[in-house]
Amino acid sequence: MRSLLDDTLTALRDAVPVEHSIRTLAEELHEFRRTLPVEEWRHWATRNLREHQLYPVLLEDPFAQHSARRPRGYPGDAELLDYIYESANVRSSVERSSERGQRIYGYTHRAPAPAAVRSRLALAVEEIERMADGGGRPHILSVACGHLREAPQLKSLQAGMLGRFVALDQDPLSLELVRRDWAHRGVEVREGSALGIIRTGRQDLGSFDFIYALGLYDYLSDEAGRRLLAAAVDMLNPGGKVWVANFTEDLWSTGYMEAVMDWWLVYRSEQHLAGMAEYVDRAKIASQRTFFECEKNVAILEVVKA
Amino acid sequence: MLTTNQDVALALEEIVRRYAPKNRAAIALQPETHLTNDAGIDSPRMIDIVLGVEDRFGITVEDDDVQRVRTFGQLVELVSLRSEGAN
Repeated sequence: MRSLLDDTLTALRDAVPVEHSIRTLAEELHEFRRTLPVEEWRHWATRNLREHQLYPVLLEDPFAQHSARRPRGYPGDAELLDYIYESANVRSSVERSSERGQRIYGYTHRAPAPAAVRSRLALAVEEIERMADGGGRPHILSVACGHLREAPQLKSLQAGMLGRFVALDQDPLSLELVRRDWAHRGVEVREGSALGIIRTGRQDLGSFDFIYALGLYDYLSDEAGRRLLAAAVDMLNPGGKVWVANFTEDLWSTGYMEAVMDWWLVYRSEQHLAGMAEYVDRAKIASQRTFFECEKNVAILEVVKA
Repeated sequence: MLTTNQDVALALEEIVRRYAPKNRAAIALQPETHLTNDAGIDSPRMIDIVLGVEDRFGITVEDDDVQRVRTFGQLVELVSLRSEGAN
């Protein structure tokens, strides 16, 4: 692996197109990761790679740098996703980066994992639009809403076709941005965590026709995930549905995300994700299914309440 | 029934070690041990710890209280207080 890191460094210093170098590095890291026990991989990633001269070069990519730096104290914050969505509020950060960093970013934020993040968001948008088009002014709850980047794409929100749209997150900075941009459109901003829903059921938030958590399950343990889903189903109106999304295990950029970006997710197969419904009272379930977004890197579990 | 801070600390040590990253699971948990910086407990793992604490002690820990906990000593203090209230 040492020679791979050396070769990648040389290629990036020679200013050849970065795509091939970064992709090769990502694929090799992924393969290497598969050969090691988890803790050995973690040790290698946090020591060997990060002590190599290549590491600061890779962190010239503002997306990777934000992920590794964790400015809000936790991984995968809403601003990190803004690099994936190419949001205006990270544009200056991208423009301040070195030319090489911008070229690396040009590749990394279009890799399959970020593409899947955009794709899962698009699915949620489609679903909300479909429900709104059906009339009935649906009540929507976004759990761990981040910066609510689906909002700009929602014609139904602009047109006032939603009964309620509640944005829940535990990060006050994220909520401040959502409030600034979307409160005037009727989005209700609420501070709260997955833990709060698990423990109290957050019936105070009301009942909903669609509850979705796009990024949360990538960080939750099985136990927390099962309890959260059971609590979320209890917050649904009859016929309402919950979506929880999760990255799957076959993602080839996993090694790069963990070793370079210090971005460690909980990966679940489609079958494993389906098991998150284990704590839901079967009598409360009208139907259950799993499906993928178009990149096939994120699985979504849908539970419809009876 | 767990009655002393020492009992609570011992039970909490077991819970925190269960959810700490494996490379930090052997860390000595002192009152001043920072749960995030020293023990590697991030916010998702804190959810697991709180659920573990609630199951183990039969208490409820409020979100606001959890947000204020930074060190192992503060966690012990919080759980001890809540346990006293529950008894």
